[in-house]
Amino acid sequence: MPTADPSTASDSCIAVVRIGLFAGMAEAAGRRSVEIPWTCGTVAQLKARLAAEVPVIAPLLARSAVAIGAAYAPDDAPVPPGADVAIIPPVSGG
Amino acid sequence: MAAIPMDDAPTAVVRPDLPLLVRQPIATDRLLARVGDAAAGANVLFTGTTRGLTADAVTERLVYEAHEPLAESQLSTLVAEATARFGLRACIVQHRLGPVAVGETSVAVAVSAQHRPEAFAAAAWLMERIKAGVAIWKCDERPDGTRAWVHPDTPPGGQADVAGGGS
Repeated sequence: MPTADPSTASDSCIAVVRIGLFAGMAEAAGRRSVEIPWTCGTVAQLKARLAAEVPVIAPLLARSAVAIGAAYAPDDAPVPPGADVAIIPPVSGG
Repeated sequence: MAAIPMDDAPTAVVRPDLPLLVRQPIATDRLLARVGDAAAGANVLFTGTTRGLTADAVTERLVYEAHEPLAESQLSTLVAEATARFGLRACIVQHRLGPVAVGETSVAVAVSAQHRPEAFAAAAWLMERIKAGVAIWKCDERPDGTRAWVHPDTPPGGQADVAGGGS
């Protein structure tokens, strides 16, 4: 996957959000992360954008949670540009 | 364990500082030894192991993946909650990542308490919550080379919630 150029990654005019994918969702998408141009919006809006960007994951996405950093974020939570977002599909540890 | 009556308030709870997520085999006997102390009259070790047969489906191995920062945070919170809720003397949880062969331990919970009801209850409570909510996934790999990630709550007709020979 491409690595952001450190000289531009923090430039405020480059507003993207990187979304980490795991397990069956990463396998379905064929990649472990998706970057989406992003200025502002909620978790629900980001999920809608992601579903449009990668339609193959939409069914699993519909029953997945969203984490920002190391905590779950509800659908109405804001997603700041540059946030570390991950999609958490139904879990199966143990 | 010495059968010492210790119904008075116990001394400080032991909190062994062990990794929550590991890529090597879990030394379950050592976990059990780590939770014991003189005030603990009950020590429970639960191990979840890779099951080789689920109904008619053969599993060769399970491969575990986690959102590691989230899973570590969740497991750490569960350990603290269980310790407070059940008045545990000590509590250790470890979960494997990567491939886990049939018969190997994928998850271990070791707890100690003054008496057995809270020790049994805490181990069961921890396992239910780990399985229900911690950001860890298993991929069921079969002898014929096919594989499937397990994502429960599959709509009716799906098989994912019964596949995968984990605990």
